[in-house]
Amino acid sequence: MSNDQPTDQPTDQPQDQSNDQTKDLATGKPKIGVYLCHCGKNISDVVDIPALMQSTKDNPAVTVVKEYKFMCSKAGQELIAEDIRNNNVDRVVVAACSPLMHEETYRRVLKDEGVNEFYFEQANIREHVSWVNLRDKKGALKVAHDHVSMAIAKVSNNAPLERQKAKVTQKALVVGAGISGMFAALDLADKYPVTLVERSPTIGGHMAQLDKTFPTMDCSACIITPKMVEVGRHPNIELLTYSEIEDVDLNIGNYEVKIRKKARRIDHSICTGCGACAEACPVTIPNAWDMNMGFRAAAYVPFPQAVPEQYTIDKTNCIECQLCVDACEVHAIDLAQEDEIIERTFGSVILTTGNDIYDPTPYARYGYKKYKNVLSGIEMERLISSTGPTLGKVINPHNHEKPKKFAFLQCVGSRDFHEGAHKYCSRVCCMYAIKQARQLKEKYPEADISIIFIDIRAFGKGYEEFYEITSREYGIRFIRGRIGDVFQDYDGTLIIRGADTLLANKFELRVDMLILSTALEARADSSDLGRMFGVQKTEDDFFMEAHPKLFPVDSLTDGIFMAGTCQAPRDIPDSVAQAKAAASSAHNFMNSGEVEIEPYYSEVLPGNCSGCRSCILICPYDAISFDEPSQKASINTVKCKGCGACAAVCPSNAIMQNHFSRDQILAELASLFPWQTQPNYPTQEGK
Amino acid sequence: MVESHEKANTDADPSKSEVQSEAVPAVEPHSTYSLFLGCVIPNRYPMIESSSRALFERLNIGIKEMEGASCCPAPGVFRSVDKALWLSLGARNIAIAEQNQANIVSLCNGCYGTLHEVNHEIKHDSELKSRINTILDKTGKEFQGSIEVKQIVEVLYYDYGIDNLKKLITNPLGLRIAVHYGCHLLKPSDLKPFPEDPDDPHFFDELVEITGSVSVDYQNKLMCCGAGGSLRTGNKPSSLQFTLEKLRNMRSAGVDCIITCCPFCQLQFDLGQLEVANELEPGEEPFKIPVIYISQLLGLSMGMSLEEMSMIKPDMKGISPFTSFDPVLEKLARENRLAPTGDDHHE
Amino acid sequence: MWVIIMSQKSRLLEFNTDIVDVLSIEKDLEKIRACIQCGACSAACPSGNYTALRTRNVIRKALFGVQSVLEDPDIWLCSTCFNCYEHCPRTIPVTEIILSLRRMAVSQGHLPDPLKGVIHNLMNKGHAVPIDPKWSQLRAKLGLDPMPPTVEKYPEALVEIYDIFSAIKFNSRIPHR
Ligand code: SF4
Ligand code: SF4
Repeated sequence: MSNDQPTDQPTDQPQDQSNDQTKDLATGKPKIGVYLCHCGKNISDVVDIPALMQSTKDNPAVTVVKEYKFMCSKAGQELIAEDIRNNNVDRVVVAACSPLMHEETYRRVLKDEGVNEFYFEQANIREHVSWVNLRDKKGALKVAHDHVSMAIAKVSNNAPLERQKAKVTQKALVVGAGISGMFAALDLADKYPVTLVERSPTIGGHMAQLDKTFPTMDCSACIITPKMVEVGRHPNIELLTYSEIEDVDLNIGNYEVKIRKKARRIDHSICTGCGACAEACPVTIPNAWDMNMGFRAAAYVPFPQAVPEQYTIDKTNCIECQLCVDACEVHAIDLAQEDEIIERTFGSVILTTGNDIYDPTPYARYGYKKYKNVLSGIEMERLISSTGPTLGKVINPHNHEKPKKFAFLQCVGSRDFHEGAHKYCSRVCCMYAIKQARQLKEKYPEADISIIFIDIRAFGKGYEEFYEITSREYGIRFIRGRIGDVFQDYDGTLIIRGADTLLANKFELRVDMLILSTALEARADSSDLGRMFGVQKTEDDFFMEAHPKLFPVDSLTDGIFMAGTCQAPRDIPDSVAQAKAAASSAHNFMNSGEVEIEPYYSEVLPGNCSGCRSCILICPYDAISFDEPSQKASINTVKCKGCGACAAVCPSNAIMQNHFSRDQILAELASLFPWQTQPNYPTQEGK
Repeated sequence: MVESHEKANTDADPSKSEVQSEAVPAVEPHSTYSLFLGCVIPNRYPMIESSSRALFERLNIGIKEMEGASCCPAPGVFRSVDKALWLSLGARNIAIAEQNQANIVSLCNGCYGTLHEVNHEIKHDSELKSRINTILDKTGKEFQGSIEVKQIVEVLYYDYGIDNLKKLITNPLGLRIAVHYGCHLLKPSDLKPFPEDPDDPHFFDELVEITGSVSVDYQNKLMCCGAGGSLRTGNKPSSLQFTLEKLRNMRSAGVDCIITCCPFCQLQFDLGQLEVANELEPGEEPFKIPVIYISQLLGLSMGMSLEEMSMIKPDMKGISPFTSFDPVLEKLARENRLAPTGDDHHE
Repeated sequence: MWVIIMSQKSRLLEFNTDIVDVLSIEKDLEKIRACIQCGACSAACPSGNYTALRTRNVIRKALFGVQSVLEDPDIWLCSTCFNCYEHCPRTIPVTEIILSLRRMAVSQGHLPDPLKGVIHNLMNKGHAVPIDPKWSQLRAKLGLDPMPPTVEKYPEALVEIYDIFSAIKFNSRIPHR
């Protein structure tokens, strides 16, 4: 058998059943089966499987060693099941991919055959060996051998464990009421009570700021406003706007959440939304919802179609003049109103907190902020929108005249490896720029428009067709290239110097307005929320899914899901699809009524505990409390995530973490350094 | 011209100036630097050397000579030819300053670019360091990596401190100034130790503005002068195209003078104004914008004399400055902004 | 016209990694392989406003081993302003690459004539721009030592410069005459 001739048939080469083996059985020593997977050629092209077979066979602890092309396949699983049935194998090591991929698969095999599923270890010889040692086969074999030996040592010391079960509260929380959050809430609300928390005074999110949507050019408001109303009216949705998550207790399936309902200073049970307060209010400040291009009072609704329709008085800008109090005929205004803390328990949570928009100010070269007629994409969107500060009339902010020539610059803040910018493609900018260009042409057929791009990414359904029609019928100039300098002429015209990469020439454009198609980015303050819900982030600062392909809307914590642009930049169709996926995942999670909890939790060995409380301080999940009568630490096993911080910090060797006990870990290390005598640590016996 | 000067001097109120000179705060002795001269400064623009030496003295900034220093060597030419040559000659110059135990101050962006990058590269690569020291072996010098290389704007703004400089200003000049940063002062920005955005820097502008002048924001202000990278040496017509565009932009912004911090940029704008004469559009006025080095501007605003700042051109043919200072000097005299001098320097 | 075209050798390019392999020896220059040909470098390049230098094309030619990049005058039109490097979204050290290509060109005998004089100045005088009596006189008139305290004043220092030139075997390595 060699690597060149991959075996399609399982080979069955158990070690000869010598007397030793029988003796093991007689003495109740574990019988360990080791299964080496080729993963097609992913592993076997790099790791010399026959050699690994041989070195594994030489391990005296091992009873049987087998290899197969795809261990996770039905035939591969059957191979293990058979050995359990026929060869009395009672502990299993599979050397294959990451346990994240298939640990559950193999555990199920053990379980189905009546063996405790924790008598299983997976040695990751793909991600940790073959993929990262492509050019060093000798080294790869050595590392693979080490991984397998460690797994054998570990499984020899494993103990049978039982999963705990917890009841799941039949209520869901959705955080963030943009298009994703609204859809997730609506889908779930038909079956479960849903609390939808939104921190701004209205729901709708970024989509409500858009004028039209690509590629159908349907009006954004016409799609989203009815949905907003539906959310507002749904009997099973508790809508908490102007509210933020304050604290979360991460009990799986029973998340205890504190929500701060900020004082609106207007009693919403009375407010009729007439707007008399806003009219009376003498304060004028830029309206952030209009990208600070329009104005609002301290008493305001962000936009007329807001849901809920009631007004809010923002505390920072209110000058307490009381004019609104007199103006309100129904006496709804209560300037002394305080924030309120609401406590709820939820079975599952969906995070749909959306994205921020990249601020192009750091790119001084493009003149944003320096020249008034350089705008960001979202500012253009508000300017072009019929609900915007100019009611859809596009004016040049420099001279308030009608602009004739426009340039769009793509990839501002995206696809840029400099610090502060983003390496990823923001996925929507090509399409929104094309859409805005087309809208400008529809309004002003004589407009001269250039879109300066690196690549046009029109990957969605109907997008390429949209691009084709826009360039063919609307006569927009698509320039593949980049710009270097932007400066303003004395009449306010922007002079743009750039390079057309296809003509291999430099060009100079004179335009009235330059629009920077800015990136989507993670919310600046999403770290706090992520920490509260135990959700990690990827390098780009967005929330991290459990697996990009297999668990795309799941977090690593059971019952917590995510959707929309809090996870990565994406367009409306993708966000909605994901929101529905997350809703259905949350439904599945709650539907069984129970959740199984991994038994990896730590336990206190009361005999050893000296009551020093070091563990209480270090536990990131607040799972440890101090039991006053006994003066010992005590761990809430449902809250414990099994991170092991307490076990490591305990000076008295009094914390035992299931499945990662000191003995198990030391046994692994000993197999790695066989020349070292077993270190003389006190063992953890007897609880 | 001459007349207006004399007039300015006689017009100046002597009592006022005396009060001013007494009001100059005493300056604590400041740190000491190794002065790196390079080639263009001592051999073509000695006014930069003399005015800077005078300014440093005024500021109590100590100077140690870098005896036997050579060309930095020029980043454009020699780095394009042979990296070993560029690194080892640069390392030798740095080694001289290391013997002085004083950081280098360079009055030139090019020298700064070379020495700063050579210093950085060798400091961060121990293998390269030993290779370079083998090359230096016979010269008896050794690169240790014990000092920093700084540029005069950096030294004035950050080390000496702009606030300390402000206290010394006695004669606000009221000029409209075109600041030219020069590329190697700012870029490559990831290697520079100060937080200036190469697309939107401020420190040089602030430095000229403490002289009571305005730094005028002209079009394409941060563009290169065109001299570097051996472009002037190898292809003068192209290099002058850069200069011509900059000069036009400066002129249309209505400036009194150009302020530089680099002799090569200075040369490009100063001699360049004569050299672009053939490139002008029909009817386009020849350029006559004085090009002044930063120490000269600061010195004048601190009440130092035109002689001290080497701004009185000796009566010789074919020497720098090639574009006369007169328009600026006349304006300053007219507005009575210059410090009086004891003797009459114009015959 | 077509006769001329037909009579020429094939105009099809053949790609190779000859240039990139040499570039990649230097730290960070292997980043050239990450170029997305966006043109930010060309767009930011002031030289390209007046000359035929198209930074992006230089990068592409170097990447694909198109030998003419070393022979054409383009790489010598760079003023080393570093704009291209500052603007490159993939943080490719474009200016460094151009300087490295120049060195490659020089080692293949493509040193532009005007640079030769400057090199000889440095070899013989230690300065790219040496002093002469006129400038010495100007120094004196400005109150400076007529001879600056550089190699000009210390002939023993000039010997050190010669030593360095010979230690790096400049004459035998670099065709400069
Ligand atoms: S800017 Fe960078 S990525 Fe873009 S073409 Fe130039 S070298 Fe390539
Ligand atoms: S360094 Fe050279 S190639 Fe790069 S932008 Fe400046 S002149 Fe152009």
